[in-house]
Amino acid sequence: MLKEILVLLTALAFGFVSAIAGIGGGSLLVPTLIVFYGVDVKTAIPIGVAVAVATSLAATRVYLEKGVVNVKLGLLLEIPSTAGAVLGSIIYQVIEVKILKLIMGFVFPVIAIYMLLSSRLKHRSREEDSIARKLELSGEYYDENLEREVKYKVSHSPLLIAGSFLAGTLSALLGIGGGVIKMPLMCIVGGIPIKAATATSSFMVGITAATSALVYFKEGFMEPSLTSIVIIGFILGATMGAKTQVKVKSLWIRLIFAGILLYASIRLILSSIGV
Amino acid sequence: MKTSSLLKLVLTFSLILVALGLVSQYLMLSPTLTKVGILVLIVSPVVLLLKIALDMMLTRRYLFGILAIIAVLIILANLILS
Repeated sequence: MLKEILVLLTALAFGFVSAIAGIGGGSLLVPTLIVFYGVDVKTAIPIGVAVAVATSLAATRVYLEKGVVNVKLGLLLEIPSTAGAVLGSIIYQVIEVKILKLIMGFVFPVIAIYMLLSSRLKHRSREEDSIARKLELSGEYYDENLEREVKYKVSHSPLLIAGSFLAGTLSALLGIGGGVIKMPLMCIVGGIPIKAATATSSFMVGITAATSALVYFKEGFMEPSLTSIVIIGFILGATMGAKTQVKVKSLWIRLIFAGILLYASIRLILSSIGV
Repeated sequence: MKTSSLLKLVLTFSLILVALGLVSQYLMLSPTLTKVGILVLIVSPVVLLLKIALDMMLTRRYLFGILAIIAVLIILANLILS
């Protein structure tokens, strides 16, 4: 019972803080559950994808209302992303736990670095490519801060498609949303403004995560009690965080989150080699 | 019905089920409600895709409607074949 309460409080805190700082705390949950709460790797991953579905849907609802999501681009990229998630869920079912821990140990530091640098992320306007032109993927949205319409063009579609496949595979394999790949890829390579990239990535994350989540649910990998505690905690925390007007130093939160991820990564690597 | 409203409805419904299921579990009742709540939650993206497919078809953007349906078919095929 104590463990469940602590997991609930952790999920609540991660949801709250990630909403204030604007970072995806969901990817922190999986390593935290494994390293700090001793949850089995193959139990933690399905919890991670279920949380990714819940948080993505909650955010997508708001983004859709504001018209920031580039639905056409999202649908185009969702096909490779979903296919990647299929591959990831197949690998998950056959891969050894120690190899999975090793992969996590090397991928999570990359996420930690992304968390530290994401506030400096800037999109670069690029020339529209032929696929984007033919499919009319360019978009526009109303920016409330700038108080004007922002129009943008989509570039390097093949690279975005390949990146989405990788993001889908990692999402299913590691229990993360995959936004850590999609977001910077859309901004830097695709020339999409941060707000539109965040919204479109969020829209895609839920669909990709659902691909593997349904398989994990069907196969009985999803532990209902712990999954529901984490979902409730995270959603409540994120809702409270979004409504709170508390101003916090985002850099400190990013540093703490990155520190937890790095520590968990080292523990995962050491555990995978039997130290 | 707007897509965002549909999403809000499904999400709220699933979270209520998950929360009720969690309470019922601690009252030593069956975990079925929790499972149903989680299932409704993870099925929501499929509902979202189907709604978008319908909207796309109605606005004659057939290619994107088909893309949404393909995504649903991949998810279902993966589920059936796993």
